[in-house]
Amino acid sequence: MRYAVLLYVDSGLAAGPGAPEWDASIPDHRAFNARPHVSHGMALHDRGSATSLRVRDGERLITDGPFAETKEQLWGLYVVEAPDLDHVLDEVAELWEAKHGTIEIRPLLRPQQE
Amino acid sequence: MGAAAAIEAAARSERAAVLATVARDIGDLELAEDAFQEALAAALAQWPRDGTPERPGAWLTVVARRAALRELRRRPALLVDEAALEALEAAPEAASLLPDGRLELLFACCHSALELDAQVALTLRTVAGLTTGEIARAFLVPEPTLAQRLVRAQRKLRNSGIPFAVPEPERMPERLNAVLGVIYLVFTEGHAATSGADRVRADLCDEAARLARIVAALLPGEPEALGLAALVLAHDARRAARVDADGVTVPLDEQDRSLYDGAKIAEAQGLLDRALAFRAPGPYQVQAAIACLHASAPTAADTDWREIAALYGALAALTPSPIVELNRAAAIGMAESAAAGLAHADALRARHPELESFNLLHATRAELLVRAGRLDEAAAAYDRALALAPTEGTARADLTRRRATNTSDTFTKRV
Repeated sequence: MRYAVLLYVDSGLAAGPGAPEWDASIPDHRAFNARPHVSHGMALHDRGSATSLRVRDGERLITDGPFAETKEQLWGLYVVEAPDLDHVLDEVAELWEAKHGTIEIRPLLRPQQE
Repeated sequence: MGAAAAIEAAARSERAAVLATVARDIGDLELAEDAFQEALAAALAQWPRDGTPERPGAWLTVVARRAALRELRRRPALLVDEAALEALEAAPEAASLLPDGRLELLFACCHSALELDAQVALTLRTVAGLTTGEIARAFLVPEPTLAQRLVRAQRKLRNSGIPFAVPEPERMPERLNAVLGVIYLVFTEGHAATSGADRVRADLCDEAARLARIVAALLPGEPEALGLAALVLAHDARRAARVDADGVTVPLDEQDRSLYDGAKIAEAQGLLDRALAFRAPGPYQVQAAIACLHASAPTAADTDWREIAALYGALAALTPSPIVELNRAAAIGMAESAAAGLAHADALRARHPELESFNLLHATRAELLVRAGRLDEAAAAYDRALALAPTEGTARADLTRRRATNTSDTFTKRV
């Protein structure tokens, strides 16, 4: 099965080199990203960079910020190939975000083939 | 046995094992349930004609597995893992027959990725074989709500790939703890029977005992699994004495011990002895030891209170909790003196001011004050306990009765 692994951290944290939490998480991600069954690793700019869009009746509504104001922000994600949920849980438990934020694991609808 | 009776018997006794095996194979409990129904229908058509198969469970498993695979074939490609399905279709059917997958099923149903309510409902439905209606009544929720909960849980199991597998050794303590926690919760719900239709809730005790026995039998090398089975059985052994003919709770010191179930006590003691031989104590073993001491004592006064007080001390060290400390205070009150028990309770009270609003603190103090001969203070403590006791259930009636009996003149003379 394939799983999206979504990394959430405190919404106040800044992303990018020089931001202490971001720098602290890098070694974990370098190792994780190198694993053969891990793909689509992406780090996001922090929530301050987000733009939200809605189209209603043909009209574009563009707003500054993420779509929902929450205490946590999404700041990165992966796709992980694993036989079952337990394998994913074991693997991502080592990531910086598991210890300092929350990791959400969501199975992808199409299991194997593109 | 006629074919119809054989099918009915198999539907009951083989259900969990067939579901477990098919679900483990195809990773989909909801589909396994539908496939089991289909297999029963096939049995109704074939068994009367061809005779009852030698191994009804194996027959049902093979037929249910085929039905499940046929259904998977009919599903949209987006939802089906083609490679895995081909592998399943190619796999020899005999491989799915041994050994039965109840343990794997139990670990899947009690996975922490499911809500606790869902874990409990799913375990009772699939492993214990209760109907949706029975579970709904036992937990006092509307049947459609419970049915919804079950469907959601089954879909979560399938869609998130929760494995039907016995966990790796390094994850075993955490995962086993979740399984035992679910069984313990079923047991305490049944045992407390604080509200609702008591009959059904008492049945939960039977189910907890059945589940605990299954886990103890399947994991004989896990002392806490044995300990939980011992705990559940030792408590359950006293069920007939715990409630009188009018449905009123009978306190431990007033119970008719001739009503205790000796066979169950012996079974509990045997399980506990096996658990203790591992020399790896845990909270369920300690609670089982306490329950066994109570169940096997000839009278309340003749109970080994010193040992029980020490066991509560051990339990408090393993799982610190004010409730455990209150029980410990009561046991010290019996083992040493009422004054010593009161001292323990009052020290606890000083450390945990939040206990002031907890009826059990006052009820425990009341009982100790009675035995210390301080009846006016006891009456006041009963009153505070009464004011804080939950309105539903029998707690208030019990307290009122204890207050009347224990603080009256006749009682003073009896003491």
